[in-house]
Amino acid sequence: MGDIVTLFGEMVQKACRKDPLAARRLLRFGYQAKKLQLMAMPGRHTTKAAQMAAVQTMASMIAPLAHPERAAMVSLFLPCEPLQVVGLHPYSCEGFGCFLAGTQAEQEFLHYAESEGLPETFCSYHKIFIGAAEKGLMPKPRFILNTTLACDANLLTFRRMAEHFQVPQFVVDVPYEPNEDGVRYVADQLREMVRFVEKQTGQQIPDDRLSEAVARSQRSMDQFDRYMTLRADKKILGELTGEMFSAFALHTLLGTPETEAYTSQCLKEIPGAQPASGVRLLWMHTTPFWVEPLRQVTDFNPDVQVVACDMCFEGFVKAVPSNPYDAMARRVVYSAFNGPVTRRIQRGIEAARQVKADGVVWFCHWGCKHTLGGAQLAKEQFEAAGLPCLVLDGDGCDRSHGGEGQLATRMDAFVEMLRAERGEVV
Amino acid sequence: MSTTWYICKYTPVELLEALGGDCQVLDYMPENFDLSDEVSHPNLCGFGKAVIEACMEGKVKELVLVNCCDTIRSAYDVLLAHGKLEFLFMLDMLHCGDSCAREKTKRELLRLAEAYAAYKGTQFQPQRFREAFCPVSRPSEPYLSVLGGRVGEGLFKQIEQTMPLPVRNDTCVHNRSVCPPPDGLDGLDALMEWYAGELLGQLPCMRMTDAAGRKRLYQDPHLQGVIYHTVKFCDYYGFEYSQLRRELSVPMLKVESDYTLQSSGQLRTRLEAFAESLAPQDQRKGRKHMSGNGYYVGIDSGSTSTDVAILDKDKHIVAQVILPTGAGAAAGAERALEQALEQAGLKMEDISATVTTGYGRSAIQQGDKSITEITCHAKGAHFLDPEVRTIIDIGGQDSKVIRVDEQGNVVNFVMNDKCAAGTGRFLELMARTLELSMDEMSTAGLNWKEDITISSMCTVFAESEVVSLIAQNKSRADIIHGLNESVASKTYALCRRIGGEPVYMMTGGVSKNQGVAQAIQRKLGAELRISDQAQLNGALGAALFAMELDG
Repeated sequence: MGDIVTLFGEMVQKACRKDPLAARRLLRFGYQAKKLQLMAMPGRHTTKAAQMAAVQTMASMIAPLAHPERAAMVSLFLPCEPLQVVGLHPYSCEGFGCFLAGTQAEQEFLHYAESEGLPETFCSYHKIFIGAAEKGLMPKPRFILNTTLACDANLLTFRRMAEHFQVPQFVVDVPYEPNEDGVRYVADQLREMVRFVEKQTGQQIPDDRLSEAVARSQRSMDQFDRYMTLRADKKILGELTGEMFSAFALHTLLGTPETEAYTSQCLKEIPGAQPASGVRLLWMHTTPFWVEPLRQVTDFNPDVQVVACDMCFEGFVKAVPSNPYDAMARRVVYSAFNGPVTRRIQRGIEAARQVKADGVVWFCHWGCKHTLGGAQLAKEQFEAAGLPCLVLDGDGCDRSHGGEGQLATRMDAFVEMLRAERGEVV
Repeated sequence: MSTTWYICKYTPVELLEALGGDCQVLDYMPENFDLSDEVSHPNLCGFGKAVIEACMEGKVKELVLVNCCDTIRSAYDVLLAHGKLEFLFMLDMLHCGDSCAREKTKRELLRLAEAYAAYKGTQFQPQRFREAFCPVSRPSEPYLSVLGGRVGEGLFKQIEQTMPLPVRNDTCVHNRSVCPPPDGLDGLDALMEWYAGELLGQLPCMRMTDAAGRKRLYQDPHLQGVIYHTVKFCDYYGFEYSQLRRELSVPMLKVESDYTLQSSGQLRTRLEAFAESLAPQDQRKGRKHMSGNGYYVGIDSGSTSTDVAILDKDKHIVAQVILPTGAGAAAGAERALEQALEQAGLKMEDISATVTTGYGRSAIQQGDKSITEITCHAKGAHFLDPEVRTIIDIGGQDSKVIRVDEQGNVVNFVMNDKCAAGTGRFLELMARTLELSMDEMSTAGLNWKEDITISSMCTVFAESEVVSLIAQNKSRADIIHGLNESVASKTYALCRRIGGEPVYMMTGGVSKNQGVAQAIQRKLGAELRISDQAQLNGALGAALFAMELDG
């Protein structure tokens, strides 16, 4: 399978050199084929819920390729409910960065972006996307919406993309301090954003329809939160890629009936699951799903399971859906990624206790200064809370940063340490 | 009085001074980041690490930060936990300047004023506030500008000393543009309302949503050239650099530092080469009649080899020597020069002028002048083949691409950054892993069958990758082909960065490697000319400059 993907990735990269539109068609065809495969043959160990998240995310990648005129480019943390109301597809920059890496088609675009003068140290997800867009693989969206939350790359990538595609852009400026003043400030901007979307599309976004979507978001978050609590005593096998699918379902697709169905399915699978056993890990940040030796440790392994990832639950807050702007603003302002990194660490500690994790992996994705900068504090504070923490340096999507062997060795050693702490024979 | 340090132009310096503060910009370049690496992460941007280092060393007791970027937010997190500062505050500065943002910023200013006044035990002095504003002026004479990410004190001094024109520091905090309040505005509240707008309305930095106003920095009629500085792991300014590559009408040099002076050797070469390209007539300054019998020496002291060329007055090469540099540049140069004189049957007295170039150029005593290898390579290549417009030079320690005009003057150049990937050293290490000589490496990849991609750009990881390919029984030819392609990719990216155009010439030790040369040729989709004298190119250029010294 790996070789088919390698071959496909090479075909996309080569096609893009001569005819970017043909490469885009090829990519769309490949993703459609993958979606069919996920629907028909999801894999022996894949749960129904994981299959739903994978299919849903795959469909969301195909939609902007098939109908770019009905797609709005967005950053990961942007509340997308207004887009759902007018039937626009969210077009995720980070998502495509991730998917192109999964397709093994990232190197051509990384090199191109760097040869255009972009820093080698810039976030690889964003760099892949910029390279692919500027080489003509990615289609022109209707417009661009992004927040300033969590990552400087948002400010840079989306501005550059707006200039490249010559499309309008709306930026939601998220203040650093998570407080009620910030919620009001962001809610006002979201109202403006809705007016912007209405103007761009010529369609109305009625408050009641928006409230419905936000209510679905709230129910989805509540269900997933309950799932995390109940999962604490259960063994549900999964894979690193699945955490990323889940993160997309709970962000750009949050508010859709599909995401609500997914979180509902997560809950349905709890009663039938086996009792918890093996080493349980909380994963902080994105997952380097391309590192094969690491997947051998974490994927569908009854002895080692990643039981939660903070990319999925960082924005879970209680809000009143009847005030949709306040609810959406609350999600970004009180996101664990906003404000001092200690908020993210504390949220991690709570989640680790909620899912009964034995240890925490703090994954320092290349170029993510927020995660890198907090690494030592995270280690200190998780360990002070009785949660062993492994700081793992790597890259979520760029193979040229290498070090697969080193990543797997550290992970293996950490798991051995946790097993020894549990009194198991290593 | 204790100093309150700040790092960002959006800092309300005048407000702090009105509350009794003595404010200074923190531009400290440390020796290393030992203390910072202990409490944060080595891959934070160098400036952020320098801020942490300064605080951890105890140099800074009062610090006002701005929510500039991910790194500074991280530095704040780390300093809150470990900093032992007497006063630490981070101002939440928004990314736009509309009325809501101004209102919110005003509240932030009042929050800072309250905390700082309580710390200092002072009160807001309106008169001091007004007096604290400094006039903002733009140059009225030709000048060079350092743009981009903030440049440390030491590096800026080095730039000033090297350049032929006055240099302005227009990086980051240094292009602050806040004007005094209008007359008649009174009271803290009213003043802060106005001040919030004034701070947010400055010439924007790259973190602002609308950065279009930055054009003022590089559309100045007196601007003669730009040194664009980026700090390793700071991403904001790489984007502006990428845009300026296409838009700027004056010469531009890109330099990157990690906020220590450790890389000054490599930056020195680039700065000097840029200065030479701005003022080529400077090389003819001081032209005078030299003694000797009309023979001219060029010495290129590289990291791997020292090359010497001697020309007669008709530009015929009368001697050429290539020797390993050995432990010392000076001794290596002396040895090579002796051999060259012997080869030509000349004595030192016959030599009219000598120019040195290469990394060791300043350490060599024999020269009348030293000129960077970039300018010398351009000269040498133009001499060997006047049609050449782009030179690709891959040596032992670095690789560079130089664009030249029809007279052989440097138009633009780029060098790789403190990394062995894509250099001769990378190939040497890989040859050792594969147990091959460099000559064998040159041809062993030509008959490849399987197209293997060596994905790791890092030399150390690439070595592990090669070892695992050997373990998978992949053929040597295929592995070497993969390595050649990897060097070619890196080189091609450098070419694209400065808009390389045909005719291409390859020089430097790696030009002898047929596999690499062919791979680069494929990437470029154009012929790569390799002269028999390719390795001697730098020395040849130096000898030609020596001839120009003799009037």
